Amino acid sequence: MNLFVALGLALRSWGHRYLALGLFLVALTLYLFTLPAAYTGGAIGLISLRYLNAELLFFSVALAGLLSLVLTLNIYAFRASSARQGRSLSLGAVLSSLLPSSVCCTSLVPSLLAAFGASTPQIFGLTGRIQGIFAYYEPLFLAFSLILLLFALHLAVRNILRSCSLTHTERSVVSSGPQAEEIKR
Amino acid sequence: MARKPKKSSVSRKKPSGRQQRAGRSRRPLYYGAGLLALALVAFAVYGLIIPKSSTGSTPDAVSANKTVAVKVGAPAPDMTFKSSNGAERRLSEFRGQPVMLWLFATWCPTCQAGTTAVVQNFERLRDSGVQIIQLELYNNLGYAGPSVEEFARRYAGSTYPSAGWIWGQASQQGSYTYDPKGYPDIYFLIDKDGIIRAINGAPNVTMKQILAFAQRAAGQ
Repeated sequence: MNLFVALGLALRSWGHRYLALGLFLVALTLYLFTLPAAYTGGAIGLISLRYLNAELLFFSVALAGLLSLVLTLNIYAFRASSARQGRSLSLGAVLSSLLPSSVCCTSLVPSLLAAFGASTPQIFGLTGRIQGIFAYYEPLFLAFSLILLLFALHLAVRNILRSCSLTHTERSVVSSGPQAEEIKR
Repeated sequence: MARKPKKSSVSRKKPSGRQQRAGRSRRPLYYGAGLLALALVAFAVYGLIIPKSSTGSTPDAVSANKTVAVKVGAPAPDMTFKSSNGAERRLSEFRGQPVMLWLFATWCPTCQAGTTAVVQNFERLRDSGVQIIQLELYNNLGYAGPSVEEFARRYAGSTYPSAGWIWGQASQQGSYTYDPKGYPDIYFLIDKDGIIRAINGAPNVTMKQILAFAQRAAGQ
């Protein structure tokens, strides 16, 4: 319920609505092209879309939707001069959602290991252990990102509502009562 | 008479001590997620350190350190592998025909997608005389996955088994020689003279290159 109150406040202006929509489209494009990278050896392009399945599509839409809401709410809170919370969570969510597709099956891990000076036998014992985990548990990583974003959204909502310093009773008055205009003034 | 404006009943409140304490007590939770991400990095670093102290210098490791040039334009070094029917074979047996030597790990999603792409183009490759040799990398690169047979049945479908597509397991030395950096998906296009003409990965993305090689091979 608090979510809708906070969204009502943040998306009151068309500017914030367009911002949310723009962020959603950008994030959705990012996820649609990057999440299938585990199937393309890290290549990102139109070929990525060929490997979109129902699971990746769901995560792309869900992650993009949540990310755009979190960012919009945080920007609204920032403009309202209140401290932003959950920035690190959002960043963590973006990173953890992109980890499996960028780590698994690309040359990233082997190259890093080689750069750290690992020998071929060491690389052969390690590469699979690192990349295989990301390959097998990709859905868990994406679900974890989703949870992080939900938590970041919760923080952003709480942040906005607290910045208004309204009690629960007062909020219900704001949303429905005649004092709403007075408070806005 | 001007009436003094009534002070709004809704005023800004400072967070109470209880709220501040609650905020402070939740702070570790906020950082928990960040710590988890750090743990992932730590896991990778930990993995780097452990093998250095536990891996001895085996004869295979020593031989792997001898650099054999595997590069485009150079002759393909010979290697042994065990085919899926259990026979020990050598790469040099296939001299005289174009070969696509593909080293992969069975847990790798790119390899699954790549295999499906090769299946779709298998007839063209076979008609061009290209021999596909798809080998599981030594020890599956350190992570368990389905066996080669299971992988082939699942992703190669009706093309498994076929004479033009050999499946098997690369030897340790062969894996180290051809893939010293441990890429989970790497292929070598070797012409009939045994010269490496291309090195790449993800056949589903680079199929054009493979088909061009096959076309050139057919024209020779």
